[in-house]
Amino acid sequence: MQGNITLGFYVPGQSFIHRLDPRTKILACLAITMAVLFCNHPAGFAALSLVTLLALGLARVTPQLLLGILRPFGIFLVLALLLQLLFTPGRPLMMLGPLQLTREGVHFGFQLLWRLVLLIISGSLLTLTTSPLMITAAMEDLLKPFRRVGVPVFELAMMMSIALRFVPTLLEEAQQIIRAQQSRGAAFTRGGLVQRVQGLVTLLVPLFASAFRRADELATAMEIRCYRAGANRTRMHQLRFHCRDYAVLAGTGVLFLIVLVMRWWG
Amino acid sequence: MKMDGGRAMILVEHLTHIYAPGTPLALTSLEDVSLHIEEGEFVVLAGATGSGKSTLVQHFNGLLLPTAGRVLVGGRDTRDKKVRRDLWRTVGLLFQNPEQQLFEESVFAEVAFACRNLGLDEKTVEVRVCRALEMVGLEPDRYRALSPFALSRGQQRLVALAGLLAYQPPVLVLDEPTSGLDPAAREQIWQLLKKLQQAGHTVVVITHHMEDAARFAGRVVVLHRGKIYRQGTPRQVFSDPGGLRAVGLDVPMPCELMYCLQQKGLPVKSGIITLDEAELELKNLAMG
Amino acid sequence: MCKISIQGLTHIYNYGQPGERVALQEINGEISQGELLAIIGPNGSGKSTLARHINALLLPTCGTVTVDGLTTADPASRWEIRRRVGMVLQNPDNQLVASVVEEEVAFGPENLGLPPDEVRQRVDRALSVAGLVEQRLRPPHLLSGGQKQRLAIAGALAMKPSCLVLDEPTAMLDPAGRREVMQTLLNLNRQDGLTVVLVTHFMEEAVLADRIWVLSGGRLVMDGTPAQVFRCREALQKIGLALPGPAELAWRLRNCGWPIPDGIYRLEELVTCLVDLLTRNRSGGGLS
Repeated sequence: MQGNITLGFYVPGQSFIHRLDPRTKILACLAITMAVLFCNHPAGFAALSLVTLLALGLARVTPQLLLGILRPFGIFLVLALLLQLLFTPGRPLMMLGPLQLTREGVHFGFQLLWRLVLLIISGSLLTLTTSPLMITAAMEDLLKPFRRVGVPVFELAMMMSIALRFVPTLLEEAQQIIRAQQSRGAAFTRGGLVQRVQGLVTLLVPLFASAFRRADELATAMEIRCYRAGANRTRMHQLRFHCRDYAVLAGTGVLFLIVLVMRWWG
Repeated sequence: MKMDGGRAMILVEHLTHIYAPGTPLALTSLEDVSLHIEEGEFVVLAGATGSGKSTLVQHFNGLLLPTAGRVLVGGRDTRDKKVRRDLWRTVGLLFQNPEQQLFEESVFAEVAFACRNLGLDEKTVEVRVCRALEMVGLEPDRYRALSPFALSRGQQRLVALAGLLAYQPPVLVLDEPTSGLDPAAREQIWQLLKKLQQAGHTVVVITHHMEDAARFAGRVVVLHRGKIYRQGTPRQVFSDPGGLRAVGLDVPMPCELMYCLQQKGLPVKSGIITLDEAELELKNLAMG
Repeated sequence: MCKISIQGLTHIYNYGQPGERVALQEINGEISQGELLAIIGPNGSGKSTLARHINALLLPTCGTVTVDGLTTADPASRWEIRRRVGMVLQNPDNQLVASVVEEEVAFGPENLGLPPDEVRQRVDRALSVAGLVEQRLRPPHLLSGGQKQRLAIAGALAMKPSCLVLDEPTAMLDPAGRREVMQTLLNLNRQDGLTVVLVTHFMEEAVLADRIWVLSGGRLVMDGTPAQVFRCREALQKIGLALPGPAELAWRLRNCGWPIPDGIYRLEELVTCLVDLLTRNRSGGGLS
């Protein structure tokens, strides 16, 4: 019953962000990521936070969905914060047993936390609003110039999209294999480490064997439909920039430049 | 249905199963299903895709827990986690396309897997594995050292089946054991299952090959959208071809034939399910 | 126009090596435009191997296979042959490449380097013929078995082939899925004039063909209309094939002296014939 799994947790929709060209979204995400990493000025953070909030609104992301995005990273975020709070040297604020909480710790800790949150949100906005297929198409297009230096861009893109297509199928098969092995007495959730590893073998060997067999059959199926590596394929979906794409690209580009300027001159 | 002195090996009472309850993806796969399977019976479970057959049988070996109602296997309630954990020893379940589960380096090890999980000593394992391989028609000496991955799909299917038979669970449950096989291989498997039932096993088979069900099943249970649509002897169940087709199943050709003749006004007897019976009935009709 | 000519075709796997195996021996036959040809035979008879020669997936060890005058052995013709002869395989999952239905159908035309508008047109048409327009934006893993095979057919159709070869396309499907696929194929053949070559072990599918080739041990042992082929009960039994149910019953009754015409192999025909005979009998026609 896991039929609704799609990698990257893509949720189809018609929001402004959904309708942007996937290349725009990749480039904008890249620009914002770089800006977040380079930013060291409170005004910069404020601007980035506002932009991110705007993007969330434009993508019609509900607070529940937002929490759902951040929850898997919860422990990681808390740990990152704590490490910074307790292990940054500087002017002490208070003592907690053998560890001390410093002013710098608080500053860098919350700065790191905020950076991480912004990074997670911007990455998630990309995968939430763009199907894996579109992401692959965009990557293929953006990396086209590298074809000239011999990088097999189209083939890599084909490999990636096939891999994405098979993720749900393989996940389903993995679940099926686990059920079959449990029905023969294999232990996956009981026993010591050795038993669990043995249990894992009963899952991984068949899964790999199956993946190879599928690959073989799929290669035949592709040949049947005249697929040839290196040949000139066309695409039914043509990626096209619209005004909104130029606007978003310009906006995020400018933001990135401003942050950069503030860092080197501020 | 009256129980004629047999013990209920599997008792299902008002079973309801809901996948992912409470979430937006919740799906009721079984609704208020009540069923009993007696020791030594040969039961066929039939139904279109999505009717709940696979979900139902996974309650028999403890893979699934009822959302409501209960399932008793050999008198023990599967809602108890301890019961579910060891239920595989009593109820052996072979899923569809069991070639998927092969992982060992040799056919011998593959067939011995469940036996070894039972904790049997190697001498017993040796005996059982060889016997199981013989039963499915794979000569032990020839096949034991081969890699399961070097075999044809039909042979892999037999190896998986041997793995089930080797550890001798009293109840055998097989989900579409003949799917994708040619008629000769199908016949071989059905004959084997009949022999096993005659040797005392309780056999439950999920299939949509109604011609085979007609010949081998003692009882047929038809599921539709998570509920029991009809159950009874093959003769009883196949007497309504229209109804069965409406729930996505085929009827054996002899039933279809008799039904058509009936529709055209001929006084054919009801309950004909095999070719031989059809032949006899037509001859009887001709003699007046 | 599609005319496939097979002359002296022999295929030996691992030719010249220790594990040599002769899969096809001296096959001679012709397939004309618009035919629905069924290829039947017991397991290991070479049906799949033969199917793969028609679209140049396999090359002959001896003999030639020509499609519209193009030889499969000629590397320059290979891709044109594969455009003209589409193929659908047995496993629904392992022939689907894309993560969205309409992208799957577009795969073939995209490989041909066609302009995007034309690709879009072909995709729309193929989806409509295969009855999958409503599923166009769904991921393939959410489709039923029957829908997946129809998707594979749509993917082949988008290349505008003149012939479609299908290797046991319904073996892994349930009855509903089988019906869907067969109906689609019949429509393509009867209404659109597409040549269809169907490799199958289901007699109920073979009876729908215009012509049947029977393979045994790598040889083409019978080539004729269904009526002609199903007349040879003994010969078929010797190779390990059974007659379709209605043909078997007709044979048995004929054997007892009933005046059932030769060449009855479909249920409807048998019903009509029996109704006729039995009503005449009751009004004094004398059958027994």
